[in-house]
Amino acid sequence: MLTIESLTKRYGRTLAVDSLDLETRPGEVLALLGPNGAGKTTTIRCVTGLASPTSGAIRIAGHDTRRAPLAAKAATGFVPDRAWFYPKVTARELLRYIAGVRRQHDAERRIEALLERFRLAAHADALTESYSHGMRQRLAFCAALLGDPQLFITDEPMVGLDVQGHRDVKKLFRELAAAGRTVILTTHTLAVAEEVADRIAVIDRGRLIALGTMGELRALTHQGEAATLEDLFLHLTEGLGEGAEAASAREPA
Amino acid sequence: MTLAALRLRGALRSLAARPAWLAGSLLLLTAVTYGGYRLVRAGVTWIYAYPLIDTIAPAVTQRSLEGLFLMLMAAVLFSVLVASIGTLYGSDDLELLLAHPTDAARVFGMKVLELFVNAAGLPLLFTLPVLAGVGVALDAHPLYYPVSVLAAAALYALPVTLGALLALVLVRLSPAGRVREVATAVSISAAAAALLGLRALRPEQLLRVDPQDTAAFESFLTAFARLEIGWLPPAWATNASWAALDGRLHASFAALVGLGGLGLLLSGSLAHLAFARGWVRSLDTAPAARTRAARPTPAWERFLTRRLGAVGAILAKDARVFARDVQQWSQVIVLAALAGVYFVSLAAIPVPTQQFRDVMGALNIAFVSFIVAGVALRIAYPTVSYEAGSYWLAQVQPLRKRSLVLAKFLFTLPLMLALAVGLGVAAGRVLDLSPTLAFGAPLAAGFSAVGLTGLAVGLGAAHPRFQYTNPNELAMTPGALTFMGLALLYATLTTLLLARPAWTALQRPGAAAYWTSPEGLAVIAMLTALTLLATVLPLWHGTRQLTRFEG
Repeated sequence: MLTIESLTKRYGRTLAVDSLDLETRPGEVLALLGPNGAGKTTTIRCVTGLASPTSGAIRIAGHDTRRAPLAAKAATGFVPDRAWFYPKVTARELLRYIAGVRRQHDAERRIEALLERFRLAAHADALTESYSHGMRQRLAFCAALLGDPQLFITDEPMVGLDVQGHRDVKKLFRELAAAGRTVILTTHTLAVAEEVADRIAVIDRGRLIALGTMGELRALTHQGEAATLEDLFLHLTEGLGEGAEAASAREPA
Repeated sequence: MTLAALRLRGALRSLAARPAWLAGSLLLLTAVTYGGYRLVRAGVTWIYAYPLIDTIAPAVTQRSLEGLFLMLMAAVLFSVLVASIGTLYGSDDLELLLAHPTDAARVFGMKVLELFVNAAGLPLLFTLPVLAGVGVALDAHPLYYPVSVLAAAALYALPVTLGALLALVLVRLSPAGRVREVATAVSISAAAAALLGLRALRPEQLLRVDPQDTAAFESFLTAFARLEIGWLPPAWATNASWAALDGRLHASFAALVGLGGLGLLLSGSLAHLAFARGWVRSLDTAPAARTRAARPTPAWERFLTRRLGAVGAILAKDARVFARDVQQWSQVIVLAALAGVYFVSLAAIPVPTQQFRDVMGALNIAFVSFIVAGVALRIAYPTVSYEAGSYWLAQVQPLRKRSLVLAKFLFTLPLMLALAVGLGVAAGRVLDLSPTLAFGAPLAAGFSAVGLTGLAVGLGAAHPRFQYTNPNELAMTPGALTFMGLALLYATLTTLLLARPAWTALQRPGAAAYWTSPEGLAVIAMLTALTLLATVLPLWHGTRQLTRFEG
């Protein structure tokens, strides 16, 4: 579904992503983990078209993001960590706008279904400027799912969501995977990653340092069955300390 | 000062990040400033050498300086009223600044300073070469330069203080829940009323004199020299500057600086009491539920989306945002006021002969271009940047940047065309132009609207600023200044191209069918080529730059 080959991204002299290789499969949930400034967000920005890779290749559903960016974007849905929308439009109008941009002329039913599913139907005709952070986040989910994407990417999906929202999102990830879609999420809430992810990728200083299921990561780090993802993560990224903090300054928000 | 220094540091860093742009802008600025300086210097020297004016030359120069100060002060007042609510209460950084244990009056002070830079920055910049020209021509004492500049700065600070005070009051009085919208609408309407009010005084009555009639011209100059507006601050600034020419400090200087200081003190004290509470009150707009009844997609939106695809969807969205965002739709009030002033001014011009009317008609072509350029700066240039924080949404959709830029162009074009062609047609009717110019004026205006809208949207896309504290900043960015420079160039070239038909109209007023003659068609072809160049090239450049943009 998603193939990243030797992805490198530089911001001036700063190397944010360093020859990263990653491949995902249809129907899997992949958690992308790493300390602050590791390059997770930059990787996602390159995949979603918010940034251009310095070198390397990205393919989404077989479409090269450089050569066929529109086809690649059509196959992708993205939820950022802080979704911002035009304040003077309503949720329903925003979704109609996205449907129009995507040339989905008969999207009314899907819009209503998404608004209902993400508990926004009662507020669908209120301007988004009156929305709470959690409501905006739920609207971002509606917007990302409108095109029925094959690749679904979320950056810190749980930020701002209430308990019900957490549960809904976890359920959504499993449903999407069951329908053959690929879900990629970055999060610092390791319990969520452990609960929903089929595989976990750990990035540090722009490089992929580990990739596998919980069992494979335990084997890689020589940890027992009782080891949690938090144990594995700290083991893998042990000793980063100040280096990671310094690197965090170079990663864009 | 810490807050202001922080903003200044940010501004300097953003300039330093684009050295080529900085160099280009500085070069353009230097050329304009130097040109202005030379012109004023030559003008003042000429007045002093002109025998007819003779002894009243100082008074004529003084009155001219007063006139300039009055005009620019009115321009600052207009800008301040348009921008005050947005800058003082709508800036995004206020949330961060007022959350800290910082004195609200200090934050207010920084915002007033920002308002001063945005509204009075350019007028002050235009004043400097004038003051320098007068100083050098009259061999001024060294004290003249700092005193005259300070007097001008203090003069332009007065409307800024007035605008800030008005904003403080308006935000306190506007109905809860829609404070920002109502206050902005009232403030902008006040600006439009002030503009029309000033125009209604018909200052041109003073200038109704035939320059050929020596006696009448002399009596006019004498009357003009005696025309004192001593009770108005522009006269204080002039008196202060004039006294400083001989190295003296006039009481007007103290009065001006004192009044400015008093205004700042008063607004500072009021800010202590009202600014933070007013800001919190203005936030009440956000959570106010404005639920609308669920309706199916309107027919016009369906039509746009089905016919124009992504471009149609953007047009529909932009139309909604424009209609609901007071910062955007209120620009139409400004536009209407400008058009009103223009009609009144045209109607007031004495038009004794057909030839004179045609000369005015030819000049009018250049004036309309300048007006359209000014309006395009406010309406067309920021359209891409208005995507603001929501731009990520456009970036992640399967949307060509070309479609986005084209949609912005198509959205602003009808408004610009209506204004420009309307002014062109009105000029033809009011001045009763000969057929060649009666057709040429709206034609040129229409071309100007297309060319200048393309130039504005293209350059706005090439230099987007999606993160701004308030939209009024967008008209003061290096990209916006470049647009103004290129717009003036376009207007000059258009006027030069139309000089030939204007000349023909003057030579043969009765000649019909100029525009269907080979020469007329050639002029239209050249105008089309120039406009296409001014439209397509910037739109292409803007699309390219926007595609590369990584926000």
